[in-house]
Amino acid sequence: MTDPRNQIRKRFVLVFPNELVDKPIMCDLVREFDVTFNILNATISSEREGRLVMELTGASAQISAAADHLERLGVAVDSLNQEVRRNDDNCMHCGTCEGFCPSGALYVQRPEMRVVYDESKCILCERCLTGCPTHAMEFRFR
Amino acid sequence: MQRTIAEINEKIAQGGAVVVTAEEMTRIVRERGVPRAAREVDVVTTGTFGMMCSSGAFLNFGHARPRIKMQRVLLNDVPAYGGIAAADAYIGAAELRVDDPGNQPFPGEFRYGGGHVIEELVAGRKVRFEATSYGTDCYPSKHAASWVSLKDINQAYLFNPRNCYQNYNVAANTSRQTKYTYLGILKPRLGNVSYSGAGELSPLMNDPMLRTIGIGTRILLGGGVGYVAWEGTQHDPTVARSERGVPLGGAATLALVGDMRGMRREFVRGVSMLGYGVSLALGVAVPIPILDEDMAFRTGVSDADLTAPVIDYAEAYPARKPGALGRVSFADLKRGEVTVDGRAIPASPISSLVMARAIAELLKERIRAGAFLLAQPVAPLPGPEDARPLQPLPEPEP
Ligand code: SF4
Ligand code: SF4
Repeated sequence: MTDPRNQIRKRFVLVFPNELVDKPIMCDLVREFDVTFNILNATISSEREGRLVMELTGASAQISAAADHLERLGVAVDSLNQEVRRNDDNCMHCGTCEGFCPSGALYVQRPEMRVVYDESKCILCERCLTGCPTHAMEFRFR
Repeated sequence: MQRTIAEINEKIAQGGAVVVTAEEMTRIVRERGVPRAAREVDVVTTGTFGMMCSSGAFLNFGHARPRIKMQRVLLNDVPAYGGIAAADAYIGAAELRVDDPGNQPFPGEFRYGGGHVIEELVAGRKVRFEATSYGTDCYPSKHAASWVSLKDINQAYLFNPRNCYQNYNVAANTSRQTKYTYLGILKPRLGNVSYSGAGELSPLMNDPMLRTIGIGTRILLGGGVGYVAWEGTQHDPTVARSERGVPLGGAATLALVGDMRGMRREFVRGVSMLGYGVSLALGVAVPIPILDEDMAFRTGVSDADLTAPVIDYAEAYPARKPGALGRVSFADLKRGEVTVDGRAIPASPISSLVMARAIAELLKERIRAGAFLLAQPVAPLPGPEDARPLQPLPEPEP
């Protein structure tokens, strides 16, 4: 494994064509490029295209190599330069978001009842962009 | 042990009053017992912070030159009611912007409305003002436009017909679709419950019989000084009560008034409820004088003593059918899990205990500093004996 200090994290949106959906592509990635991945969001469209939002962790060069490798296989790779952030000035710690955030990224810390945003758990589903009553959650470009 | 409000005020003025929050009082009563708590504590501060749709502001803009009888008033494109005197208007928290698409497409986002205008004014921002009229001899102008902020407005006070609901429903959804309600987003098949209310910190839970809270009670409204003006709309103290005398469902409400100029933006927030509408999230703190052992007992109430009905917002609530899915305690609600029909269901709030605590603390500090005296109510609010139960809208004649 690469020295953790040299590791970076990068998020990508991958679109798998039909014929690649059931191939063990991701396992190869871990083996061949020494990167780890974390799937943030996965959907399969009506045309049976697979769409994955994922985060790769590893050395910068290895991540680029892994992305190139995926493209050669026919996967459309887009680096994800958006993130969901909380504007803490607008958050009133009401807890409404705990009820709908599917990943547990937004949760009430009990018994203090403060609402915590753990960005590392966010799967970019965007529900909080409209569900937060004070619009404290914002989509940002990195 | 007896003490009067006048005696408490003397102590406050001398800097010697013992003031604790309602959460602290719950602990004190549990640890030291009612008689000792009554002897030792003079004032308990309560607080709540949540969506209170029945809120709004009366504003006087001053007269334009030439004069206009402001009939149709818009503030940042949100209509304010102009059917009162020439330069007055009332902006309601739940009013939508003129071009708001409502619930099309569903669920509507309701990004801006009356509650947001109120927040912006309290925050000191300028708001776009526009008025139209039909023109009269004394008010010839038919159109006026300007920018106004709290500095320019002659009078600006919140006058809220219904705040501080004493207990409320817990919302659940038994249907197979997500429901978007004023109590939050409810997952299908009892996937979650949501609730509003501060439980043992809540003002009317600490004075359930309305012994000390009456017309003229001085409070903090939105962080500034305010008063109880009247019973709130839908005030119904006749509902069933627990052995401790605490209502088992929505009961008393308060009509509150307060100058917007002393308020703080953190306690006055415009909010958008997905699929429902706009509103105002508001902080209120009410001081409760410990006049005797009975008031020490009342303010010693704990979340475990307070229960609320779980209502199905897919079926029973919209159709106005009676019946609850169950009862749950505030202790369980705050813990984040309740049991309904033998099933464990996650519970999340939509009101902020963090902000409720902040405003109760603010009131505590002001009283301790001698900067806030208690007011003797000038008249009581209707209690269980003098009020009549709520009536529904009459059915149309056949
Ligand atoms: S819903 Fe919005 S305001 Fe409420 S706690 Fe979550 S992020 Fe904060
Ligand atoms: S986008 Fe918002 S709602 Fe969705 S997972 Fe991230 S924090 Fe939760």
